[in-house]
Amino acid sequence: MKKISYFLLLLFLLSCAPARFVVPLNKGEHAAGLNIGGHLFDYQGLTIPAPLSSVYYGYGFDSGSTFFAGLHLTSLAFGNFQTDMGFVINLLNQKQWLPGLSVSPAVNFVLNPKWGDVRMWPQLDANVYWQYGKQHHYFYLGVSNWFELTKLRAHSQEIDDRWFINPQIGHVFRIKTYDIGLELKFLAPSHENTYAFVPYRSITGDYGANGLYFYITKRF
Amino acid sequence: MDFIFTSPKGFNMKKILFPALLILMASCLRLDDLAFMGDNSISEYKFDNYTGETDMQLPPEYDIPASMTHVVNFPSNDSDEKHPSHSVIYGVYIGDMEQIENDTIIVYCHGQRDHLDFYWPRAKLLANCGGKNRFGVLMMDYLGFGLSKGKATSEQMVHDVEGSLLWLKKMGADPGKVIIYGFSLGTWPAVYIAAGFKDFKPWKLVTESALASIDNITQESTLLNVPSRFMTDLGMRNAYYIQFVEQYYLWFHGTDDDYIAIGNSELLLKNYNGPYIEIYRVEGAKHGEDGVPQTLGYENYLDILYKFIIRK
Repeated sequence: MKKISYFLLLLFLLSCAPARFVVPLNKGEHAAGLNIGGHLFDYQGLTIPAPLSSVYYGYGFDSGSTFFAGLHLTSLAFGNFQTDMGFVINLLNQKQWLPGLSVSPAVNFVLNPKWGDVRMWPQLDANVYWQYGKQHHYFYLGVSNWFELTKLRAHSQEIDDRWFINPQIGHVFRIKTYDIGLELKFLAPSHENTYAFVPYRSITGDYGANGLYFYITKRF
Repeated sequence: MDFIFTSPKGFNMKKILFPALLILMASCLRLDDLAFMGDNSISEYKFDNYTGETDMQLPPEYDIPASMTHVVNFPSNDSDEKHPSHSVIYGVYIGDMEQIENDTIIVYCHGQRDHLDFYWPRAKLLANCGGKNRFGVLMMDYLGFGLSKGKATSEQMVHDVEGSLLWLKKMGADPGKVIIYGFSLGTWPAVYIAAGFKDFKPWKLVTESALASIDNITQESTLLNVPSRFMTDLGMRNAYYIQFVEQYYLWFHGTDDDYIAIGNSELLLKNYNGPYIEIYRVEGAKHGEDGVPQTLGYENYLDILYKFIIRK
């Protein structure tokens, strides 16, 4: 039977947003942005990204650390308050072709007020980045780690996998005070996707899924 | 942390942000309707003359005489006073209407597609179980499917199938001779009713390609412990309700089901507490097309079903 569009938006979480502020903001700098996109899936023969979206805000505490918070609009439209919140910490500055390194501990929180359902997933991202040109465009690659804290899922099934490793690669064009980014994620590439109800598309075939995200950030 | 909501120039974003949040949360989209792919556009059932897509291609030896095919209608079960539907359910009864009170009857709860015409070959196949027209077969369209006009919901599906059983009761059928058979989405009303419909409790239960619950499907897809209520109000907790089923149980699922993974049905096995179960993990079978009957072979499939039905 042909897969249908039922749970197109199922990956609200693991694939809900691109990396936030891989290169930290300057001290005292604010930024706000919008991202759209999500996991790729087959829809009537076409491979398209899920229409997930979020808005986000960032603030540079100093040149090496940035606070950020995101609000997930698609999830909100379904009656959920979903946010991701955390810090980006620059560990290494770029030295010519040796990349810079930043890490980002964060928490993802979802509340459905109607049912009182609450979930929280810690996240730890690490990215290396290379800046180039006068505008400091940059590309990056890294890994986004998600952690499942609960022990049991539906029907008291034990959860075996608690750590999901999602490699990612992206590029950001900086045009004046705007950052325009595109990111490709490799979501849970070690996990077989044939058990999933969603017809995921993955360059690794029956494993994982890919996510594609576009984002634009205004610094001020 | 006021800086989150206040721009450097002091513009108070709360005035914009909070109303926007409230509007978005109030809109509360749900994915419920997407589970039901019924087609309400038809004005009549065509059965053998239907030219659209069907769930299987059946050889002519399984054809049923027109005299044994009866379009019937009955009210949905409106015993739920809170949400009465006042709706008319259409179905097809294959068999001798005069013998309903004596016959063993298979009540087939179809899947999520189109209407009766799509599943007509399956109904004909079932009508060949144990020989041509050995058992009666009743298949109904849930609201939102075929001629059953209205809106499909998970609760309404249950009421619609209950309505079909109450119609059988009215026609004199013996609940001790009625087998309820659910396929895919149709396993939801089948399991729920087998577990607890006191007005007409079916004798035996068959599930094919059952889903465990919408929660389970959600979590299989997200890998995380995500409640399905984040996006849908459908529950369909077969893996929960199966524990209350006391009837004999025949279980089918294809090992290569790429729509509802076999792990769903395995949860029903785990939770079934009844007295007798037959389990068929059908090697290589998928969902619908290339599904369980096709992979087993029609005769093998019918033989398994027949032996289960006549088992004392």
